[in-house]
Amino acid sequence: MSGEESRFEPMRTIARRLRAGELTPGALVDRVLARILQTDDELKAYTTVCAEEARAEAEAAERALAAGEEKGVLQGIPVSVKDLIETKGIRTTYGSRIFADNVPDADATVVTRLRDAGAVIVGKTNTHEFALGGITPPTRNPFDLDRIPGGSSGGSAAAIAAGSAVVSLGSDTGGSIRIPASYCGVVGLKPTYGLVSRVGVFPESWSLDHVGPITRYVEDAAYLLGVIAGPDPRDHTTAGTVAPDYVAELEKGAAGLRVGVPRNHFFDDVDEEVATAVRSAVQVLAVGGVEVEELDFPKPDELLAAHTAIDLGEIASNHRRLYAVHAEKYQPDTKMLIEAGFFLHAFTYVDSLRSRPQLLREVVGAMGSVDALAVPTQPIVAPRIGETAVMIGGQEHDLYFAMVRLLAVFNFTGQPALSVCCGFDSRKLPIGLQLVGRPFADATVLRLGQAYESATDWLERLPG
Amino acid sequence: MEQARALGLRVDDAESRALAQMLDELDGLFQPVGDATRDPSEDPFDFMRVVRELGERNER
Repeated sequence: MSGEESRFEPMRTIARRLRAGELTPGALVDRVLARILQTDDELKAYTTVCAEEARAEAEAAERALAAGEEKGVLQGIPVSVKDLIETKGIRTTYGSRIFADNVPDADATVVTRLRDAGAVIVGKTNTHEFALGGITPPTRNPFDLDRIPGGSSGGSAAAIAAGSAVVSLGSDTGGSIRIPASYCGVVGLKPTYGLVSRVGVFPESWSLDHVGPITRYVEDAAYLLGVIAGPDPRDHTTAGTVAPDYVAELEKGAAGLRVGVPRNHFFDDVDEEVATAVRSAVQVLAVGGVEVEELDFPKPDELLAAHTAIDLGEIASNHRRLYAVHAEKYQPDTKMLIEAGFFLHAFTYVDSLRSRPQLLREVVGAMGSVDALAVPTQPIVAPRIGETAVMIGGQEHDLYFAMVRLLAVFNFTGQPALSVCCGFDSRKLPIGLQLVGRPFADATVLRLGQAYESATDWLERLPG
Repeated sequence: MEQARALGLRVDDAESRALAQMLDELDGLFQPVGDATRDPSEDPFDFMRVVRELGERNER
């Protein structure tokens, strides 16, 4: 996975070169396709590569640019899309054998917006089956092929880290953008609930699902969010949503912002190297003029319990008819989640939903005057393929719960949460810093992430 | 469970039953529905209204 070929420039730079005639969309697509060819036999980040369609779209982008039709920074940029997100005329499997030959006749809203912005869809990236897990088999981690990329958007994050995509789209119900972003050393943003449409994305849990960018650079995530965010009449949660110019917001910098570091929960049962890297990252922010204070995070166990109940209840609801016919085609770990939902008490689900507004108020209230929380994205670095339990501080922990416990709380509260690489452990595996904002303060977490990225050189460390 | 079987659902997995038991225990873990969420003046399911309400206060 090594080499300079895995490094793409930021989209702003690529866009300038495309307009200066130094590069063509066709050459850019060919470079991505060549990189996929070079890496994907081992990496298995892609389920479908649409080379022919991508080359045709690149030619169209080239003609449009030559004619002076300006659509913005994404014009002519190759984008990969998680295979949970529907793409018109391009196979979309949802990571399931049941849908191995499924070709949607319509794009998801986010894909329509990418296409309207002139982006070139280069392929579909692998997802854990129906996004119901954090492993994403058979995709491997570009930093160590014996390790998982995380998931469920594992293909997207692996492709960004390996340089086989410029930017990508993922989805996140309990951490599925941020887990692989952390394990693969890339940027992953779970936007505020209600900011980005989920229409055309196979649902895991309609109350908890989010769609967002996975990129190499924070600025690229800001560009991508600006394109996909905003109201969609077919997704009621987005009604009345106003998306600011996230890239312009980055220019404000982070000096003067306030960051809170929780005393409880987020540094419990966290690997020592991870905790040290995250605390060092907070110090970097402080040197850059960010004010830091400690705070207590309210009721993390209650938040996680309620998240679990809503997630399992809605998974069961979404899958029960399909499962009744195709149970034998589901993987064992997915089966377990679906069947657990069949046992969930109705009152547990209802009580969990009813608790949500109240608990969100408590979390935002506990933030006091801070603009964002700074916590680890994952308590560990990428586990080895096949591991179902991990050792943290000499104690064994179930891998699934270890992966979701620092993340799912923010699917429940709907707050924006960004993961950026904040270092590497002694085995040279990436560590993630999670920055969590107030509702609809997505720009704030991007500003903090950009400030951190600019102050450090972790991006220079490439796989291999 | 019989009702679930009648619907054609697969409910014979031991691990699922174990997880279901854990969920029963979760019922006792959190106390989400306090008096405030029984207040009929506020729709306790209208999460988006609260997200937007809190979102309006966040710019610096």
